[in-house]
Amino acid sequence: MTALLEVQGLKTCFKVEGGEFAAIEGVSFSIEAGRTLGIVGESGCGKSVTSLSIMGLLPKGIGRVAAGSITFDGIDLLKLTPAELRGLRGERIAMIFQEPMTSLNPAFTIGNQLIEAIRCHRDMSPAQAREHAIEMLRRVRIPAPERRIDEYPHKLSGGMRQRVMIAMALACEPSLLIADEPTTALDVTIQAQVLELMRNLREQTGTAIMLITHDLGVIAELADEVVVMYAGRVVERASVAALFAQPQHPYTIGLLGSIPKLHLDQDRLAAIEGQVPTPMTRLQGCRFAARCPFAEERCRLAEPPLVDLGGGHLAACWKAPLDPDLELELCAGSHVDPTSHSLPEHNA
Amino acid sequence: MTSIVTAAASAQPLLRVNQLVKHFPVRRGFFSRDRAVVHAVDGISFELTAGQTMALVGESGCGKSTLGRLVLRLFDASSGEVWFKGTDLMRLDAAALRAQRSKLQMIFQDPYASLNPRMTVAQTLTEPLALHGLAPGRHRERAAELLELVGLSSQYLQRYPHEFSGGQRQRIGIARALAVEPDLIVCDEPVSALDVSIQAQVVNLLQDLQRRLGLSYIFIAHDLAVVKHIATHVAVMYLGEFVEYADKSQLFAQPRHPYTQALLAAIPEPEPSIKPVRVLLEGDVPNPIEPPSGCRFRTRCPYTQARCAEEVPQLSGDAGHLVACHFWRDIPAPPKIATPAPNLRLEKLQAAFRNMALTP
Repeated sequence: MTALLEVQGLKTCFKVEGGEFAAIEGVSFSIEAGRTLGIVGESGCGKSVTSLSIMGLLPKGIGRVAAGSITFDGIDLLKLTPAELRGLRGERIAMIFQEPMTSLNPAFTIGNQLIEAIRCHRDMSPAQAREHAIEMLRRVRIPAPERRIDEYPHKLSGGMRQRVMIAMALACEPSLLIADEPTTALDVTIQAQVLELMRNLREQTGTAIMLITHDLGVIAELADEVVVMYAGRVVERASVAALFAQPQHPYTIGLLGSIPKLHLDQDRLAAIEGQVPTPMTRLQGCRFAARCPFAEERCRLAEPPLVDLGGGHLAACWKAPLDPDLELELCAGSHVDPTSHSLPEHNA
Repeated sequence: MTSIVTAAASAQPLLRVNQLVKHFPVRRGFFSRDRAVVHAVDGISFELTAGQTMALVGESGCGKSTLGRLVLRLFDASSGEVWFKGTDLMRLDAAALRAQRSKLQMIFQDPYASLNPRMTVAQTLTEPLALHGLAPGRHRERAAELLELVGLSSQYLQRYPHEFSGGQRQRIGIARALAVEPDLIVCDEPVSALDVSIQAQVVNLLQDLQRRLGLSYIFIAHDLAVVKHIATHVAVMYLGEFVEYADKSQLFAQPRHPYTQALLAAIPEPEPSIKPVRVLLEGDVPNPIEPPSGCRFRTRCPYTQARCAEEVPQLSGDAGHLVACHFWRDIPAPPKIATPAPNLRLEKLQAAFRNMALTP
């Protein structure tokens, strides 16, 4: 089966005073039709830059794709004219954003905005488009859609607004939906509603989803495949089951240890020490080495490539696959009692 | 009237809140003169014993932040009492209140907005010392000590907030709160603006400081997994009221209120092997200007009955586990929190991260 979206060696640069820096480099992944790919990482890891590069929405004159290719259904997106790209966006590739308030225009009713989006891409009369818009609102389970369609965004709660955004994104039955932190701004019970809605719509429409989030819980619930990004690089790529059961990159391992879990009573979280490097920092070697407990000399010298460890599980780590017993022996050299709870010293 | 009795009722609690109410007036139309109020906090009572952490959880608009600020009297309550170490803070004049404030501090959610961008770290940390006349003659040494206490190097004293990352700024915010040697710190969503790996560092730091300095926390949060990790007692709020209150282990093992059950079930667990079983709540939180009659949760409750609209359920229960629901004994038991198979390899590797944190 050929991929719906294929990203190869993507490098995106941004202009800053006195030069240019690469926000992401060597990013490769693919999404098959009807599947959900999760992209997870912390602020500044490049997950949003990746999606903006795909959509052709990088800020003009500041950001540019410097290398790599983006192929959507056989079309090279980087070769399209702005007009051709506009025709594709909203029709075959749609996007929803984190902040549902700022992504809707407060001066127009939600009906206006939905109908505009529909008529941009579909040859429909205003009355037909309105019917279709009401139908879309019903599908995202907005109560009394015939009435709601004439309301302004400020009348709706955050959860409702995100439903409207989803209705707008799905109005033209796109084959790919890019969802950038779709539930981050929502309360947890509303997040559960929106996740359930996305799951149902995916089953009904067969839309492929590229889900960008920092929340591993959301990834575990919705994704089929996962890409983990750190400081502008893909550090691990695997099926969702393999990633959570057998994570190979130390960053993924640390990230999983950082989350408090409902079923565990832990005395202390396994936090990753240090800070996330800013995108402008120039780093030699592996970008995670400074925060990695398993790092050794070669990690600081050369950047590890993303290699297949078998079964489509890829990791960019010189030491992968990590052997826990061997690693603990090496760490034991520092004579630390893991049960002690003295205050850690930080040398940031 | 119900009041909450903690397990250590014989000893005097550090903090006792009695029937606290805050109504914010709002004007309803341009020229309308009828006064409507937002029922932000409506008749809340609880006690906090020294050295413990009480978490206030609930969704946006439930009144948890308002309650936290009322306890510190950052604004005045409409009615009610806040007894802190035998003094009713609500009746103090400005000078007496300021003297008390050195024992009551706050840590804010947004580390970007809560530090003055034009003050160096040293100025930020010494200002409260000067205000309260603490550490006379050795402000700089004290500021350096405070920085080291929160895990930052004292070389950073002359720097400005913009030179720090979010996690480091939150450490500075914690150091500022600690400067006056408080007994109680209200932490208002202290980690929700931080990245996951940094969140864990700050949670660990707050726990270490509590053990070391004997602090008490009121920990305001919406993330129940973080609360389970850090709290000793948990109060669940909905539209300005407590709907459930219990010590942590009871609340998580046997949540009684349908809202608590829904909150717990709604959390996406980072475990793809666990398939979530959840009763989804319909709709949104109602408008706090006109809360529903009777039980305020009834418009979203899957088990609502006629009585719920007519009669306000009182917070009551046994052995420190209180719930405000007429039918909590009758509703089906929630599914237990699922436990995935242990992953020894992962645990061993994660232990290396813990060790790294403890290695100088």
